[in-house]
Amino acid sequence: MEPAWSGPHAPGHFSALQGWQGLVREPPVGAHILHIYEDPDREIEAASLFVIEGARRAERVCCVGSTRELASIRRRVEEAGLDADRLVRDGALALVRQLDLNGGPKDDDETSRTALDRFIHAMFRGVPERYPSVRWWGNRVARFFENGRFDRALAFEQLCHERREVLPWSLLCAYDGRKLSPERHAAAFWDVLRNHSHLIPAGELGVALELFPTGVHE
Amino acid sequence: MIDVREALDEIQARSADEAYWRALERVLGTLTARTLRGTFRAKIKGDGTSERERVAQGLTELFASQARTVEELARKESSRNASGPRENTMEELGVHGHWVDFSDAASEARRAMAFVKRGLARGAKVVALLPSSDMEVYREEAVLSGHEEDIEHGRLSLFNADEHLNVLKTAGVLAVLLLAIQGMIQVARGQGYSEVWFIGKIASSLLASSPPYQALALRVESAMDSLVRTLPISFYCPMPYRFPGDPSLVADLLSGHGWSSVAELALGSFGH
Repeated sequence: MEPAWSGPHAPGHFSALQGWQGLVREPPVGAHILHIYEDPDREIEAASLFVIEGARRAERVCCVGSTRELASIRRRVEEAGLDADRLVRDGALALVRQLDLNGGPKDDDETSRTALDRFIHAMFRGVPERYPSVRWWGNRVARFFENGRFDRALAFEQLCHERREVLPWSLLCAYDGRKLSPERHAAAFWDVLRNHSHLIPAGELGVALELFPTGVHE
Repeated sequence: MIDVREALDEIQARSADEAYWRALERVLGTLTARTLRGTFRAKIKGDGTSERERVAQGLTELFASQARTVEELARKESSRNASGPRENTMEELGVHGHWVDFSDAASEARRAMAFVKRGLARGAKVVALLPSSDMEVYREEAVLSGHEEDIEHGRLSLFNADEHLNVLKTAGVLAVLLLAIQGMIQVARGQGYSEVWFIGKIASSLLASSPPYQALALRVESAMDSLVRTLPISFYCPMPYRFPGDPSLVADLLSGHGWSSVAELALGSFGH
């Protein structure tokens, strides 16, 4: 049986580390999770668990990814016994390929503050009247990072991170570890890490780690 | 000339460092761990601080007490692969092992018999790829060790590798040797052996040649390492304590081996 997430870990004890599934299933409000996968199936597995559990808890769930990934997530939602069509129709589940929920700007402007503000505004529609909180999953921003457009990626991550404590949401950001290269990404990687609260690494232990639990030291 | 006995401390330190990097990769995944190492190289400054110390410091900042996971894992890896009596380690060898065993010429064949014994005990066919000058010494040692019957029944085969060495030295072509090895594996499997254990003196013969063929020896070891990973074989490479070259050659040689042995000490490394 996989271990459940149970808040802060016992200090320094290896056996106290928790499996990533517990964190994804039941993330603390304000969690901004960085998921680095090296196996695409793991990306979908984590995203689907995050989405399915959110839907079951009547949270609003928003996914931003490619057509293929969104189709995989949708299929898993249905396999879990949920009515994906109804969830989408009711607005409880959004599966979109861009951040422009309202037909806003695309590509480079996608991570501008204006676009993000509009996106967040749209995402929180119905909160808290209909939905207690929001779950957001996405991998679009990672593409900017992979392609060396660090300012674009970090602008989004920073904006989300700054607001994580004031908005009732949890975020799961998927990054493809296979695209990380020490030469190209090492310097900016620190900024990605410090703009997240948890890390689900691609290692074989399948653990989740809390990032900067004692604060970020510049 | 290099004398590996003088590099023992360095080899042990390297073994411990590699346990640490492997632990980091087990927790974070290979590519993330490597990227993070690059991040810490740039971020954590300090003259005289090793990369491992800098990474440990960076991990502590990132994960606080959870960073000890890596330390604990590294300790486990180190203890699992720590230096130990060679004799014990030889008795535990399994398939997909790649050994380099440093010794003096007088004891080389005797030391190799531990590998022969272990392979035969596992039901493997043992093939020794030897230069003709070593054939008789190995045969005598095998007989002395009680393996005469194994030779007669083909369980232990001594193969004259002179022609392969000549092809390597003159044409630099590895393919013929690799095909021959794969052929031997096919034949052994056809005879009902599930594993083949090789003693290979190809690389050491190349290093001992005049002039030495260092780059070629490293290519041979690298190719053997690839075979070991993918085929049901183990590979044992006897090497002299002393051979021509600069100290970096020792590190390059070891990088392709999962295990090394200096004198009576077995050292774990993570070339795989």
